[in-house]
Amino acid sequence: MIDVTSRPSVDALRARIGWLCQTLRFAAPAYALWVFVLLALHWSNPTDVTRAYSHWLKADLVEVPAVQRAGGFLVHMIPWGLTVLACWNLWRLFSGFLTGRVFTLDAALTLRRLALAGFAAVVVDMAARPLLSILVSIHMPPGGRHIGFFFQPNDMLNLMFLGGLFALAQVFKVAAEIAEDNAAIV
Amino acid sequence: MPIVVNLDVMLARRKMRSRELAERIGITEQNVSLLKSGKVKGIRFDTLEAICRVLDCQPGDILEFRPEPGETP
Repeated sequence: MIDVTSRPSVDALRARIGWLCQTLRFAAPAYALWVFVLLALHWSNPTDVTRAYSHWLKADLVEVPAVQRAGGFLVHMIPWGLTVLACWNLWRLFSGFLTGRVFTLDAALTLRRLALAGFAAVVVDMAARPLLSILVSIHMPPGGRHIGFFFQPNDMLNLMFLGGLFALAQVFKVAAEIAEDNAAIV
Repeated sequence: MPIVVNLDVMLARRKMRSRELAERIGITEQNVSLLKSGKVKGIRFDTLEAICRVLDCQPGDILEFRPEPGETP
């Protein structure tokens, strides 16, 4: 097996982006934890939930009961789980970069998994919004219940970014195959 | 592959070890070993030149075209 991790060009790249890899490696779990704390704080605060959804649904909601808030929290855990998966792949990707596994098939596949998990997290989050709007307004009298669809410019930006990352992973895979071929020439 | 690497034969003729060759031509011993076993996809001209210089031989002494059975030469 030809070692593609100990070439001078790879060492130079590692020296240049090592600090960035370390930062991103630690930012990934920190982000996942941060989102979890924010979600937990949001759904445990009835005033916050009622105010936020009243604003988004443009309705005058009565305080959302604890059971419904717990349901909302559980629904939000699905995209959060996918975010954790994306963060895990981000951690693996940059850990690999630090050990010199840059132009490898494994790195390309990890990048692709990261893009797919991130894309799925955004799509599931968007799809969960109507469900959440029903959840937080189901205790209202008939006529006061709502179903809301939200689509923000940020969602499109995230989807574009993650779609681009997926395409980049495909390019990266081809580059890894070429690098492996080159490494087999002595 | 019909290209056969005869590096081990040349090394034996010159009574030289792979490690010494690797040091003198500036590639890793692992790559010399891969080259000897023919488990490489190609050889760079500068590597071939260095090998020929160190072993005092021609490229044809290192590489040989040996058609596979049934193949037209």
